[in-house]
Amino acid sequence: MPLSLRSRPFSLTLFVFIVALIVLVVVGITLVDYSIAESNLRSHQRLLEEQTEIDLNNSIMLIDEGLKLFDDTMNGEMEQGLEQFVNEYERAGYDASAMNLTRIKRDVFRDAMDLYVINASNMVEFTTYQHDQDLDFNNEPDFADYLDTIRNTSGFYPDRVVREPGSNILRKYAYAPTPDHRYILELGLIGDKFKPARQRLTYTETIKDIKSLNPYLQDARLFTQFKKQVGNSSFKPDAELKARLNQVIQSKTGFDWIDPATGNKVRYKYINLKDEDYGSDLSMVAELTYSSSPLTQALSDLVWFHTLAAFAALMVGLVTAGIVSGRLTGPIRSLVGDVDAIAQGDLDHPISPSPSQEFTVLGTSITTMIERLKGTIQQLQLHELNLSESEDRYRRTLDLVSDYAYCKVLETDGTRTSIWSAGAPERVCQYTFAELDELGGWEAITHPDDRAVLQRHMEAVLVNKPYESEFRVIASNGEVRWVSHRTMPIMDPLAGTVTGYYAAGLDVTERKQNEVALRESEEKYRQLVEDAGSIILRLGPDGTIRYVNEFAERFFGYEPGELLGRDVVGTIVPEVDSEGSRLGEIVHGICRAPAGYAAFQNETLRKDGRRPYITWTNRVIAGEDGSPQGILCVGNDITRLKEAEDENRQLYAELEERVKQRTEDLAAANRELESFTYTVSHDLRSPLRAIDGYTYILLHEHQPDLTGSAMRYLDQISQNARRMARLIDDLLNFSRTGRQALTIREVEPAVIVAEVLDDLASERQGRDVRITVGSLAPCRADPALLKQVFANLIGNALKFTRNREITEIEIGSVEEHGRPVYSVRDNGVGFDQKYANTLFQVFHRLHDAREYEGTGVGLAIVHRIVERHGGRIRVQSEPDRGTTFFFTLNERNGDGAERGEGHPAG
Amino acid sequence: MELNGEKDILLVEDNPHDVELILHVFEWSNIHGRVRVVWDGQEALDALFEEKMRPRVILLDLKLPKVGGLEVLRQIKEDTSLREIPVVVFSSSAEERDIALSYGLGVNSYIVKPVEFDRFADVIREIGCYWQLINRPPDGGPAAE
Repeated sequence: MPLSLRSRPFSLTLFVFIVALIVLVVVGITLVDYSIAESNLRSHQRLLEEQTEIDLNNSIMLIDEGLKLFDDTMNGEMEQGLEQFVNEYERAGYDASAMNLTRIKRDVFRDAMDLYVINASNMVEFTTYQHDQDLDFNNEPDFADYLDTIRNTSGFYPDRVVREPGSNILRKYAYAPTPDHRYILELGLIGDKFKPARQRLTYTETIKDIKSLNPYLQDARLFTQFKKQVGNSSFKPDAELKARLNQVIQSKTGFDWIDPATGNKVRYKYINLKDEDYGSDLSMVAELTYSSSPLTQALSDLVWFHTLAAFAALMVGLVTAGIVSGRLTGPIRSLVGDVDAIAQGDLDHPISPSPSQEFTVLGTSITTMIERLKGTIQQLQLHELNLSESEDRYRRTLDLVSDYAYCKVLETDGTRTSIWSAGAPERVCQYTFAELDELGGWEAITHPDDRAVLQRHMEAVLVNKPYESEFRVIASNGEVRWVSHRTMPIMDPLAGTVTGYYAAGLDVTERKQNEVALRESEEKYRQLVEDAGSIILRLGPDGTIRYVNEFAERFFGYEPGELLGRDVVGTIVPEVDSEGSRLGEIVHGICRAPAGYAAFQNETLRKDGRRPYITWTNRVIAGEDGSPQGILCVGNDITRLKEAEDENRQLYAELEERVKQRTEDLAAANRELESFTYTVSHDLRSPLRAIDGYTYILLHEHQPDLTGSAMRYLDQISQNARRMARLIDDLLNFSRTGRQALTIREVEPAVIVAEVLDDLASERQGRDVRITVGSLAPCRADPALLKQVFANLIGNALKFTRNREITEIEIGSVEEHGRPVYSVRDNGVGFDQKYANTLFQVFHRLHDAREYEGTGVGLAIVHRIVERHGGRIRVQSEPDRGTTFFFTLNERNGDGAERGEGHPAG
Repeated sequence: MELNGEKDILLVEDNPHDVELILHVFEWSNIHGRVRVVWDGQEALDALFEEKMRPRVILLDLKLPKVGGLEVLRQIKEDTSLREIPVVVFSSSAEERDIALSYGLGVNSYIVKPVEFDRFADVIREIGCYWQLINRPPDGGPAAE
């Protein structure tokens, strides 16, 4: 995963940085250290090499010196010997061949030495050591030169102890030139004597020591001039080695050779031990085999060590770096955390104080910034709210007005991009804005026949003209919908070009369908109207005929179209009808203000002059403002009806007259009766008053002049007069109850009964009267008359229970067939049920007037009142067992007239 | 019926028997001397308007010859100098119409003449007592006696 620096946390960056630094430092140090160590190692190695070689050199030289010294110890003996030898030569007369070397060796040297005579050609001419006989020293040019040099001198020339090539015998040689310089006499001391002592100084120890001193020295070998390894006389070098050794011996310089088999560096050094003083060249070749493996090993150890050290250092460094970066970035992170929290939206998140001054200042600054930001945000939010409310309002308004609306800009490449939309085209075609755009706009779903219409919209937009049209689209469910679509171009005034447009529209399918339906309906109705068997006209407010149907034209005898546009008055409607009413004016009036003339009837005029009578059903045709635009009149010929009606009217009028007359008569009769009764009662009462008055005066003020029977008679007179008065009152009442109008109201019989009982209180005095009033259902009745009913019945009850010890009267009501039946029961004297019928007749009494006074009108009155209320009354009684009256009201339609026969009524 | 002195009561009644009986009762209370009787409406009006009689109370029957009781009542109540005089209609008519009309014209009291004499007498007595003795006249004068 690629890590962009931007997304790395700072602490990590710091950490990485510190780590990098550490790494650099560590690696640098390591490398430096390593290289130093390596170079140290190498130089150490080199030094060691040098040192070794020097040591070797020195050691060998030293040993050589030592050997030299040792060898020189025998010089004296040798010198003596050579003197003797020379003497022998001289004795021999300077003839080498004359010497008997063997005898000399035996006698002179006791076989301790070998004798050699080297001639001028540097050849061993005579010797006791047969091995060396004829040995040519010219093979060793250096020695040959030495010999040449010493031959011409005189002296003793010792040589070093050398190992005889091939035989490994040690010999010390010494040379002495003959005085005649023809020969060099050589003595060779056999080494056996001194060998052990001499061998104490060996090079091999040195070699060992040297080897041990230098770890890089894998092997060290010393070779003599004769390519014999020192210390390992049996070793036979191979050809290559010989060649190498020869190279060194001959060049007297060393060289380095890489052993191809091992890769080791082999250094050949020429250890020059040649002493001019001695003939023998004891120089040697040292072969030092250096192994790089110690170095390599050491180096690899070094590498390991350094690597480990570096690694450890890195680890430590990493940890330290981690801690440090963490601690350093702590405040930053804290700050970052706080700021992040704020950024996430928690504007009130506090910034924790930091130990460092800069961060504290930063924190404070940030807090201040936040506060200002909050303020700004609030304002912005407010603005946004207002904006969104405003936009919301517009959207809602738009939404109300149209099903969809949008705004598109025209791109330079001719495409149209929507920048704003409201509403939802799904309402029209079930495609959302997005889906529509995908399909390619309205074009994609427009009905093929209407594509041209749609095209005109764009054309209009491009010439900066608004355009409105209706076209069909195919909704996603295949339905065909009508759309009313409006476009309004947007012009850039500076550029002078149309940059975009607004569009809005709504689904008008229903309207279209309605239009179609309406047209069809209109057609239907037109047909209907035409074919109707009625006269159908449409008149304008001025009375002109705007439309007349075929039937009407035929009916009135006009040609088709003849009536259109003409005034209805003068053509169909005559100016004045047969009765003289100014029909024309009326009809014009109706046309102007037709409201209220839903029906009208008038005489009309046919072209042939006949005047049929038409009944019209009119309907106001109202304009949009409600003002009348005319009337639609449907007329039917009722001429015959009219005639019949007229006849009827005549009859009715006559009848009415008669009825009126009758009613008047009746009313008059009633009035007469009224005044008659009034007068009668008044005029009848007056004399009665007089009678009673005078009688009273006589009885109370003229007692002395009267006998007992006179008094009694006078009393009778008075009583009768009073009785008559009562009779008159009752008759009047009776009469009135038949005539007077009922004022029906909702009444509470309980209230009425209470009043009645109150009125009759005096009747109850001094008696044990127990009256029980049950619940009395309310009813509709004339209160005054109902009171009379109860007064009468209860009064009767009280009267006819007068002889009872305890008078019991019950008043109550029960419900029967949904109506209340009121009852008044008493425990009075009762009567035979078979006389019940006659009870309600006027003046019919069932009881002796001596016992129970009464006019016999009361119950007749009650009966009449009940009847007038449309109720019924009946009675139930048994002699000496009391009487119960039951009555209802409102059983039939009230105010029933008096019934005739078959009904017990007066 | 003496026509001398102040008359407290004007009795307008056409029935002589009723008059006799009324006066008889007034006699018992000793106020018959204060009664002036007129026999028809016209006489009543003359007495009040011509002679300027100002009784304490007028007892008025409704059924009168010449000018009817209601007309008399109306004229009395329409006259500023007379309308304060209490008028008691004393009639045998118990018709609601008559009662309503009377009160409509401002009658002070409407009494129906009972047939029974004892009751008749009580009523007369009470009228006499009330209007004569108890009621304070409009002119603020003392109650009689």
